[in-house]
Amino acid sequence: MIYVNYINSLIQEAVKDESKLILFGQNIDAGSSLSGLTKGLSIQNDSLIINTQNSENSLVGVGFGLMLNNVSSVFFMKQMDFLILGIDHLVNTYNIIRQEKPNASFTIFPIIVDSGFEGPQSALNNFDDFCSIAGVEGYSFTNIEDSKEIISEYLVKPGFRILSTGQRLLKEESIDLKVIYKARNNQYFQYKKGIDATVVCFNQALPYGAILEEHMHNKSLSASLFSINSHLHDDYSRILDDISATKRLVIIDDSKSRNRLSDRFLSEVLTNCKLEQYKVISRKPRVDDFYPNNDALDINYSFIIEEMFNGNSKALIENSMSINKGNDKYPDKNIVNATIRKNIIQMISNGNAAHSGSALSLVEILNSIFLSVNVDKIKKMTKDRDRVVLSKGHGAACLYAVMHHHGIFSKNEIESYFKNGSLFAGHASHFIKQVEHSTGALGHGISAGLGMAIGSVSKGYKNRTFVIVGDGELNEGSNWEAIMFAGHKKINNLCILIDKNEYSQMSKVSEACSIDPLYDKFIAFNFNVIELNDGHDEEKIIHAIHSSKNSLKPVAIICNTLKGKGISFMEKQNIWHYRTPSGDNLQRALDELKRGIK
Amino acid sequence: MKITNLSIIKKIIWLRLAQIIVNSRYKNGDFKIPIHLALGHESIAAAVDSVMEKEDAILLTHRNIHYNLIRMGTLKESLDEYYLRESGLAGGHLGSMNLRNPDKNIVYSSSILGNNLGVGSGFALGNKVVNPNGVVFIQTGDGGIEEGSFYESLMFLKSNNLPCIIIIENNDWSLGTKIDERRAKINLAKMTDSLEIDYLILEGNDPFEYKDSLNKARSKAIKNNQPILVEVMLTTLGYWSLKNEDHPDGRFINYHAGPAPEVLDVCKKVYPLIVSENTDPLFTLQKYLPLEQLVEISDDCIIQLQREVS
Repeated sequence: MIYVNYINSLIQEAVKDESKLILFGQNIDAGSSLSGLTKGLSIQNDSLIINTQNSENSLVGVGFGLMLNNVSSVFFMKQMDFLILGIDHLVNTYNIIRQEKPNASFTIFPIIVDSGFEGPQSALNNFDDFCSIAGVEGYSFTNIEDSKEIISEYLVKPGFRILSTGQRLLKEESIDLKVIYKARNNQYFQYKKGIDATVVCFNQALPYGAILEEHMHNKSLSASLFSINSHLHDDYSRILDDISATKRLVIIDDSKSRNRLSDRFLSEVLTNCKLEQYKVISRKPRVDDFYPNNDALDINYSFIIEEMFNGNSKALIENSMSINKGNDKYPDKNIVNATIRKNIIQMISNGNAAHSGSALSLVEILNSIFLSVNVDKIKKMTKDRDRVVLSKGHGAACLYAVMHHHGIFSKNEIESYFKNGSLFAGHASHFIKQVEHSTGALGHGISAGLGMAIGSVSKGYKNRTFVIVGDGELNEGSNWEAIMFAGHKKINNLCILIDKNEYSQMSKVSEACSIDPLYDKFIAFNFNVIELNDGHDEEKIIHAIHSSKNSLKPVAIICNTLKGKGISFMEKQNIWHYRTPSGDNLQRALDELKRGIK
Repeated sequence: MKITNLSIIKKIIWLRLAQIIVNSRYKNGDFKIPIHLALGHESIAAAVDSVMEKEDAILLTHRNIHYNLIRMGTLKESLDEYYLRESGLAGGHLGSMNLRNPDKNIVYSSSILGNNLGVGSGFALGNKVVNPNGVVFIQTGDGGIEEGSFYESLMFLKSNNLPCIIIIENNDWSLGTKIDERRAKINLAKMTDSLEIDYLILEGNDPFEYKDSLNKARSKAIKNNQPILVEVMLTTLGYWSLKNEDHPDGRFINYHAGPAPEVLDVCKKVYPLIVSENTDPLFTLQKYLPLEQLVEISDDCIIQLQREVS
């Protein structure tokens, strides 16, 4: 049966015996009856079906007014974006009415616009986020079983909630998966029990999860499959137990939210479970999202399975593209970062300074941090600003170039780098107002940052402290004293980013004194750890920073980088730790950077 | 006009005095919440109160003190609510702007302009299935009618044939701007005519005339299952002139929320008039009773109020 017809049959069943029930909405009993969603509804004689005017704001108020008058109702709505007009009532009116614990039922039943071809309207493909705006109960569903459970229980029941499903699914054949577990309050459902991996789906992503589980099954692997139906955070203990047993997690979230429930869930997983592998498949934000596009995710299931079971890194964040391969109209980050690198090389060359390779490996890490923090607060040096401490202080040219890019320093200021009389010395200096801490002697940044983080906690600030260390620097024992203390005290506003470029000043770190297995070391010191295979992928670094925001432990983000990144003859050539680019080398470097970063 | 019932006069004077007591405490810095006084709105509140039947309901705005006090008939519960005390009318949970009192048929109040129009429309629709003899009164203002929900709700009420009286208290001001400073004129007579909704205008603050007009409107609304819009022209009293270095000649202050600093505290033997013209409902009462008798009523009210809240 086509899903919309199935949902319609559930609605018919839920309303047919209700007394004094009012069903209302635009075209619910006219034309196509919302593409079949509300066709053929049969009600008791004392109930009403009303085809209403197009006035969503007032109509949400009407539902609450009915509730105040002890009359139950359902407001059907073709698209969830229409409901934005009623947010005033969801916040202000409902927050008054809910104090009285009303006896009447009011349900709003909009359809999530997730086909993508509606253009701007489809930007609201984020049901959980929408419900969280007003803190209202909301349940979404995707298949025969969860639809039946949720609609029969909630369509007419004292209280208020929003029920919804996806526009894309409604046109398809109903998905029939056997439920093996239903969580309290229908918060989530489990469909499969496996031993090799756990797949958890958010928003309307269950169909993708089911396909992934099937792919695993075909490779003689078994996965547990869950789908989260309610944004209300309650108790994920069953899922956490499952993840602790499989040690491999795949999260699939097809929403367009920038404030994903799945990120909060991941934070809880990282706090409670020891993982061997995890993967987050979510949507890569694109300007194209605002144009008519296909919203479906394009997931390479074989690649996911290969990475999950044979990949090298312990944790991977995967931003899946939508199917449409339209023009990417984002500002080209490669051009931005090439410009930062160009400034770095010019600064070092003009100042006859060193550390090109160390500065070049840092660009995406530092830029991601400054893209994630409130730069305005750093400019104004407010007490609750995020702190950025560059522990590998010899990368100062990059710090200054990135801060210039974010409008903190002027061009003239960074051009004075390493020149006589300039505060912009070759190592990070706190004599420059917005530089948090003087570094250069290695191994000091984490302990200083830890103190800042503890200070922020004691003052009740919500900021974070970011410390950037080099992998060679981690040979210093002082780092591990601070890491041990941070883990012990669970200083969760401390985030350490490791520029793992594999080189120290004179040799490879692995040859001088290996720091691996670094992931396990941080885990052992009670950190939540994210390792990024490509430490130059800005979106992944930013995602890691954001997704770890609510971590209950301190966070380490291991960024596997290239020393000398962006200039072919400097990459992995440790001579550029000290050599100054000049003459032909300088020109060649600048020419390469004109072409962008590969 | 012959007065057949003195109680409406007593209620108006009592309501004025009760608000002055709130104002005095407000001036004293007693309240943390914003309160929107309705000095000058006493006649319409008393008239609405007098025509509401037990089946009726009213939905109010942020400026609801006049209806809450007059429907309650006592001050202490509202005062305690403004102090956010457990003994308050809503247990200290609603404060002033959202204060409701279902026991007195005040089913909802909203701090958001235009918000209560949609909710009132829904309440009226509910009456269709559970309370067909009830009329819904919805109070709003000249600011509230600027919201899109005003038009939406009129259309909804008319489309569904719902008996409802929409009271627009037009005091000309919305926050710090007068109508002609913020928008084009809205010709409500023509607007309602376009929707085939009856329109009525009340001015002059005569509570007996108001009551008579509202009684007729209510009967018509319930008989014909129709909404009726009533525009009440009034002045929120207590405005003052602020003199300082920037404004040596004084700057007119129309307070939106907050106390009226120049309104005097209650005092026996003094009629609590604020201005000597028809914009003050208490001035209008002088055509029905001599000043001495009005002062006697006022003194009785003061004794009652002081006993209640001292």
